[in-house]
Amino acid sequence: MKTNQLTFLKWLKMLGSSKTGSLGAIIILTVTFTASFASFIAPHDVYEVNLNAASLPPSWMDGGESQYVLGTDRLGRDLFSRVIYGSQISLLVGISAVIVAGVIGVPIGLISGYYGGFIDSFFMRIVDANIAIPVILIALFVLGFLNPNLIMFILVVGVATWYTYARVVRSEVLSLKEREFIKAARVTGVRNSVILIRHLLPNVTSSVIVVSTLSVATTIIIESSLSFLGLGPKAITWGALLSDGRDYLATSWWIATFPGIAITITVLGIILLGDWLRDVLDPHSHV
Amino acid sequence: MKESEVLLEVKNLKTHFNTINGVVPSVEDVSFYINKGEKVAIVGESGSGKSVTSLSIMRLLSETGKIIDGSIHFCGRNLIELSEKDMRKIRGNEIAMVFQEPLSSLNPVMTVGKQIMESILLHQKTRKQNAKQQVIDLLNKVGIPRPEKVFSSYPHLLSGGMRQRVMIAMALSCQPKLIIADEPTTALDVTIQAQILSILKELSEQEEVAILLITHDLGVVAEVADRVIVMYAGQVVEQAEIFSIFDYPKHPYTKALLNSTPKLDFSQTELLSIEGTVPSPMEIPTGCRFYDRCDFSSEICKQSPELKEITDGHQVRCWLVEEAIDNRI
Amino acid sequence: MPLNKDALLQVKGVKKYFDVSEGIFTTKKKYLKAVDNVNFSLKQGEILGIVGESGCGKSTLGNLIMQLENPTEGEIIFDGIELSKLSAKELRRKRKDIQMIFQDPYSSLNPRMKVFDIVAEPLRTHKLASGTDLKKQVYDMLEIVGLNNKYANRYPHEFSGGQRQRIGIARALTLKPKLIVCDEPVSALDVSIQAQILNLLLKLQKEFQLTLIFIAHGIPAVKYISNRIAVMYLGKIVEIADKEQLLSNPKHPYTESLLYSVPVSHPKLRSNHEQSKLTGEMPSPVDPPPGCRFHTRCPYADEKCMEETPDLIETQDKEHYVACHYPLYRERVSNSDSVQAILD
Repeated sequence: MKTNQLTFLKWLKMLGSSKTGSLGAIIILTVTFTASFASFIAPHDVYEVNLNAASLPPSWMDGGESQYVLGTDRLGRDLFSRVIYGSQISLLVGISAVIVAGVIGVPIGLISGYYGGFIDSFFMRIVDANIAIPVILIALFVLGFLNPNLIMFILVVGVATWYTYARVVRSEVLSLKEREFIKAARVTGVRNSVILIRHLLPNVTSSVIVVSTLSVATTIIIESSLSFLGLGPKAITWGALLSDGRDYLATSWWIATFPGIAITITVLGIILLGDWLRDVLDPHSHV
Repeated sequence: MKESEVLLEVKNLKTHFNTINGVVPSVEDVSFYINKGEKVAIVGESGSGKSVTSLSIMRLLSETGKIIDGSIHFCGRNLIELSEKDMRKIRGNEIAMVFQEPLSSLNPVMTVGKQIMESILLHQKTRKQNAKQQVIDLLNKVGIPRPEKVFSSYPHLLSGGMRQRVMIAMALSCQPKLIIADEPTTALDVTIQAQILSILKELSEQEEVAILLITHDLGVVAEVADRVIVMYAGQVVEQAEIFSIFDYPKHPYTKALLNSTPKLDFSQTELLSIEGTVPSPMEIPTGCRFYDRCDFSSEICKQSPELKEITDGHQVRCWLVEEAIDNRI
Repeated sequence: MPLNKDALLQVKGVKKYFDVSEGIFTTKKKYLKAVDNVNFSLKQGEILGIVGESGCGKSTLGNLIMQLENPTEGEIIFDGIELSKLSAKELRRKRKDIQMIFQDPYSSLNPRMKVFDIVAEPLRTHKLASGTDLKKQVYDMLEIVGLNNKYANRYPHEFSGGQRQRIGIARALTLKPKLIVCDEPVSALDVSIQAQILNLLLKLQKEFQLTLIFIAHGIPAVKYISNRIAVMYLGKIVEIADKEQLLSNPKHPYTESLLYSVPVSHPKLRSNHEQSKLTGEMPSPVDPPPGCRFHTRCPYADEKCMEETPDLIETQDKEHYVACHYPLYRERVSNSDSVQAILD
């Protein structure tokens, strides 16, 4: 237990020494915190309609009211509360879909790259086919026929994006397996499964993390696009808020702008943190 | 040594690198000279600062590297004070460089002939036809069979030895006064190494080009050099004419280096090795830098020794030189 | 060449051809003959050096012995067992007795594993030790190769090339193998570090009665470490003999020129090498020249050499085999005595 605390402190110290890393961490912690305690933080009920207060601008502008900090939408619902609640689903979708994609893509990439030959060609043709169909199209097709609930949504986005991991991991493995330490493991009599898990997997983690952080960002954006098309998870998400506000950009710009800013800041935070993680996970960096 | 004969004179060169871990002194107080047409070798292990010295001369250090102090006089001009524009004129034109891995210094999508031609056209006022003929002559000179064919080949189609010949031809294309060859044969087979070394030697004699050879292999030095500079942990520890180095090495490091080279011509029952490794530039000992690995270190070695001239042209940085130590350990 | 039945390792008529045919529709197959009919045997406790230029097939031969690749033809018999006949499981078990030391100390250690785990992996894989016993064995091994065990919890990138090579040696030794194939273990190191590693290997060879195959492209290192030397050219062994014999009386013109290509050890010896240096480069192993493969670069070649392939046969000197129609019978100019005379 004591050593665990020590390593935790060490990590914290390393994080503190990187400006961009700490900024990313602060953003992500804030977003996660608001997502977790949305019900305590949000000043209003998100579904509470108040037509008397419809389309109010943010509080600091002319006509704004102080109880609606970021203004209200066309039904008079508090935008601030909705953006806070939106973080819940957006984060959940972003992270879970990335996990689903990684769980499928990473093992396939490892196996494909390591064994090569027929197995490799087989998986890579599937990848080619998958790339040829846009994610949105797959999602449209599946979600259009099935009930677009949250879990289904996560699975579809995950399954539609796994190939990025498979490709990145495969190409890493192709160069790694030529390295002599893989040869050394083979001449020692180490099983292939162990080589995959103990020797190859740890060496691809940093690329997987980089891809993941970028993917969390793209998934949040995919979610907004699908929500815009009416195929998103039937819930309050940043994407849904964004698409709600789109029609009123000319009159009530804040409805679309604040969820958009939330997406931008979160994505930026994830990317900064991911960048820092990649550097830290590289054993060359901590001497 | 007449002043007019000196081609390159490096004085008190100090090069530091700025890294995340602070300033790393890579080259400290290095001085040496090269005469016109002379073949000088810098010998040292990795981390001795030999490559940084050559890059400092060319002013080709990476962004983090900086020349802190010293002067580099080439044909009467201090290279450190030149503008980047003037320096570009010196590079390739008057000082050329040959690297260890020729494949990374050749453009992969351009034929070998065109690349050499380009450098000729860039530095000389001549017509294309003449330039092409010049290239073929150069390829011939460096011992490439069927130069017309090689002229129109892409670098990846050539063997390592051929590529290195092409690099030498390119280095020669502007009739430089000095060629810096940084480990030119380390990546090659012995048979090819022997060929490349004899080309370098011949060219230096025919064209009167001075050669600064950077290597870790004393065998290569024995084949080529007129004078030897031994570097250790960023400093020159010994400098002498080639026969003095091989017959009367004075610095314990030079002696150990000579004794740890496997030789073909003698039967060796035991190879003497230098235990330990070159200290990293971040943890250089305060006194003599060879202190930890030296068999003869004593109390006085905790203070830094100076590079002292002991006989004409033979300089050593060691406290023990005055106290007679046996020539052969 | 007759093979010794009691030998620890016998390599019999081993060939390895790689298919390098271009295009899908070509009917004519093209092969890269990396190893072409190699025979030799190795006694327990012997150190065999294998030298040759890059592309001569020496590393492929090492990989074949290690069963990292399967021979196209021929047998590799180790300890009385033909390795290619073993099942995957039996082979994994047998690997305990044959280990390898690699060329590039920067790529031969997993950058994400600590030194302890790297050295412990072979023991763990074969379930030979665990717990405190494992710890003790790993620490002992680190000490044997000259590394302080306080380094056990560090990652490979914290070490210099020479220290990494020691870690690689410790890993190969933990299983107490009978045979170690060293694939150019010093080529990537500084000269002074090369000497450390060569001395360490020699010490360990005596201590553990190891049998070593030492693959290298430079003769001096091979000369220092081995008892017997095999010279390879374009996939074939052209000469194999006792070390002293091969160096003082090289019978194959290729061996002779290889010896003359080695840089001199003293500047005074410069001139007497010039005349016998090898010209040209090794032809491609995809279309090796017919007859004797060396005839394109050989100063003594005639028509016979262009047509007939010479076999590796024993010469007048016992145990000295050469594949040449016109083997040389003369002493090399620069043996120790004459060199000493020049230097004095």
